Amino acid sequence: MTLIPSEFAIGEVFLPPFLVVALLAMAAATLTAHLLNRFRVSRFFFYPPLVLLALTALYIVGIGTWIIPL
Amino acid sequence: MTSMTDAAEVTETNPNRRSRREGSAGSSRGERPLRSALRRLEETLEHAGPIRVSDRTRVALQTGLAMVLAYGVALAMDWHKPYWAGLAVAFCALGSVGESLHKGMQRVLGTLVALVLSFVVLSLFIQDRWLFLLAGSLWTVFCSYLSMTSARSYFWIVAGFSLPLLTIGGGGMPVQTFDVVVLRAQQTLLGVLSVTLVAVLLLPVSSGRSLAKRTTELVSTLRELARDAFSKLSVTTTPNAAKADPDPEHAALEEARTQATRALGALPELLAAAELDTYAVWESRHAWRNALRDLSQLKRTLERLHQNHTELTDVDLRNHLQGLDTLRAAVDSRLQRVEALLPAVGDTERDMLPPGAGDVAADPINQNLDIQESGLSAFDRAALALTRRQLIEVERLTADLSARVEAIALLTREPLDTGTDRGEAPPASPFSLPVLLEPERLRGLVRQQSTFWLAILCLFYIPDVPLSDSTIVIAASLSMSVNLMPQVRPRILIAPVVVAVLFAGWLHLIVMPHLEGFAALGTLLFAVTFLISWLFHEPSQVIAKSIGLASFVVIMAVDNQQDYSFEALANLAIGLPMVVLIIVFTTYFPLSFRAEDRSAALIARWFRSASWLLGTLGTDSERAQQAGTTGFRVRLACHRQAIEHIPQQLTAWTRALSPAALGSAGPAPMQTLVTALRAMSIRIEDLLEARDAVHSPAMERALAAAVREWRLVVRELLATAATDPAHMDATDLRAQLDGKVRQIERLMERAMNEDPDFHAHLSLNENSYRLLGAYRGLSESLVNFARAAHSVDWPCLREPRF
Repeated sequence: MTLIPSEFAIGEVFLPPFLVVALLAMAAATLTAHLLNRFRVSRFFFYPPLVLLALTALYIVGIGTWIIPL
Repeated sequence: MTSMTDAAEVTETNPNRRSRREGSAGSSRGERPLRSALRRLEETLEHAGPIRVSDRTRVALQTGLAMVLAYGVALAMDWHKPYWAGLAVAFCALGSVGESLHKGMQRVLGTLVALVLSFVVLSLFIQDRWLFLLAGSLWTVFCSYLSMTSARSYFWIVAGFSLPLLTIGGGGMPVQTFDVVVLRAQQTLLGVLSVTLVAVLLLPVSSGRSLAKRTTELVSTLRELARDAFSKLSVTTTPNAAKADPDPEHAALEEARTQATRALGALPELLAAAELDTYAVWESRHAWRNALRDLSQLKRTLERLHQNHTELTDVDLRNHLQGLDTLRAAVDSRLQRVEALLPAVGDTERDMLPPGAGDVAADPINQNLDIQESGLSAFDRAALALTRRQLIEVERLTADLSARVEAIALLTREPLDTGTDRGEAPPASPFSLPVLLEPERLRGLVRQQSTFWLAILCLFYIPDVPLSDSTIVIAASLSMSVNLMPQVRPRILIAPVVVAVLFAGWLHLIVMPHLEGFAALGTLLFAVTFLISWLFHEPSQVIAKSIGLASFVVIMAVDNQQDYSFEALANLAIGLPMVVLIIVFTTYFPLSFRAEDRSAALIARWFRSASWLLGTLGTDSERAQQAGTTGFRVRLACHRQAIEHIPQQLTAWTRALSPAALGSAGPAPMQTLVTALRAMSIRIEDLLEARDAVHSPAMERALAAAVREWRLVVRELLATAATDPAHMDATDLRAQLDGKVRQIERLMERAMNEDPDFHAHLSLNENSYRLLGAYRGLSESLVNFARAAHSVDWPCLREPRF
């Protein structure tokens, strides 16, 4: 059992967990991309936007599995 | 004045009434207090003079009142979805009567076209959703394409997104479609009428004055460029001075050229608006259009003149072109006269001639500019021949322009024929192959369709997607708008959309439930509309203003049967950024619209086209054989179009480059590179025109082999530059060019001495000189490009990054 709930509500408004996971994943992927740019690791990728998409998918899976269960 | 006269007349006819001269004490006894107060107010207003309101406040006031009027009528008539009228107000309320009317007419006509088509599509494909969506998709791609090629792009955008709106707006129930269609037409007309009524009745401002003002500014800029071009032609400098770093005024002149380009891009739309609200402009609209065309050609010719001066640095043209000083004075005087006439021609209530109109025309000048060739080398003669032709073009254009503006000022028929009589080609049809096959346009269409179909797939396969059917409509309209400005990063829309949703959501859920009656609602509508219009008042902020107002009216969701739904607000808060994210996605997939990728691709395409065009400059028999095939003619048109348009596209894309992509060099080297590319485009156009002329047989015999060898070397350099723009070494190129120039000069001197027929055909010789001048000009600009390319940080530009 994790401490983070899988249901989110702001007042009486229910937020689907996938939405929260997706937003967090996009934020994490953007931060990762920024760091990769900063340290010039991005020059080793053939097409960085595809890598960003892949990072987002990985973060969704990771966050959805271990942090906010989907 | 009128009321005082009336009061005096009443006093004279009715002796029982006291006049104002008897004093207030006497008048107060005979008048009611209210009438006395109104009389005093009227006198105060009369003495105060006309009310002065800033443009910013005026536009905000007009937009606010139009919004209130539109909502008031819609609610009074019990029409549903009054926010559609609000959307029409949001997008059509502009700075002047003509602009608002012009945009409003485009919106109404676009809606009507989509209205008719929606019935056709629904009746044909009602039972098959995939065919229905395919029809909608084809229509949006057709409208997207025409919005990129037509002068009335807003009409096509509205027609494009209105079809999905009208066909899907029935909420999946086709029986409601007729009502939805009629309602949309009603509300759009209402919104446009409200804007027009307020713009005409309250503090009206016509577009004619704005048109005259902007055109005057453009003429002033061109006059400055003309003075610069003539001054450079009349000055000799040391042979290497022109090849040194640009003088400090170069940046100011480049800025002037950029401003002139922007003005020329904006003036046709302004003219269309002025035709609607200024009678004088409507009457002389043909002359105005021809005048704008003359200004565009004048700008291009002045740019060519500016390029030529680098080859004539050690030649004082005053000694070799008869009448140059007179021509210079005449050109300046004509442009000054045009500048003086223009400010008055846009006046709606002009009842007298503008000062200076109808004055006696200036004495004719020497239009031939006879050449004195003594003491000039072969290439100096070549450059002189090119320059002379361009000076004659400048003289003709300024004479035509002056006559046209005179005709506009006098409201008479212009004395000149239209441009087609000069042998100029009419503009290409949007359905001609070269225009259809333009790669940048096709890329935009692929992106627009990708966005449209992604939105459809999201709707089909993501359960309970926010916004439901509206996802497709918003995706269609946003993608078509983004197509017109592909350099803008769509992610910048996310923050404004979220802010708009929060603000309008607060108004909708917290403020609106406390309002009673239309007086309170109208006050709220007016206040928020005024505030948004007042904050985003700059011309560059018109898109932000439209989005702000549109978000406000949509989220407020005012209706006679008012309900307050947090769910709808939440859906909007998630759905709108989701649509923007789809557009962000299509920035990278399936085609890349990153500024780094587009800039590199456009440079490579330019060089491939330039290399191909140089391959078409062979012998006359080769060219005749090539020109016989349709495929060759289409390819020629496509490559010429690429050479002409790519520098302009590159200017926009290089401005969008991030600081990381520009590297340590900054933006200046890239701008210099684009300027050098534009100069090469001008040279290639000169070359193609010069090659089409008939040449001297003696010159051809003497120089054919050497020129051919030169052409092939340049062609090879251009082909290699397509893959590596920085591979050329400026010093090497300079040495090669100087060597070639000396070789050709030796050949020409030998031909002049040995061949008795060399000087027999003066005009043909001049054509040959022009051709040589164009080759040399291209080579010189290639050297400048090589120098500029070395300053750009290419590894940084090409480095993959997120």
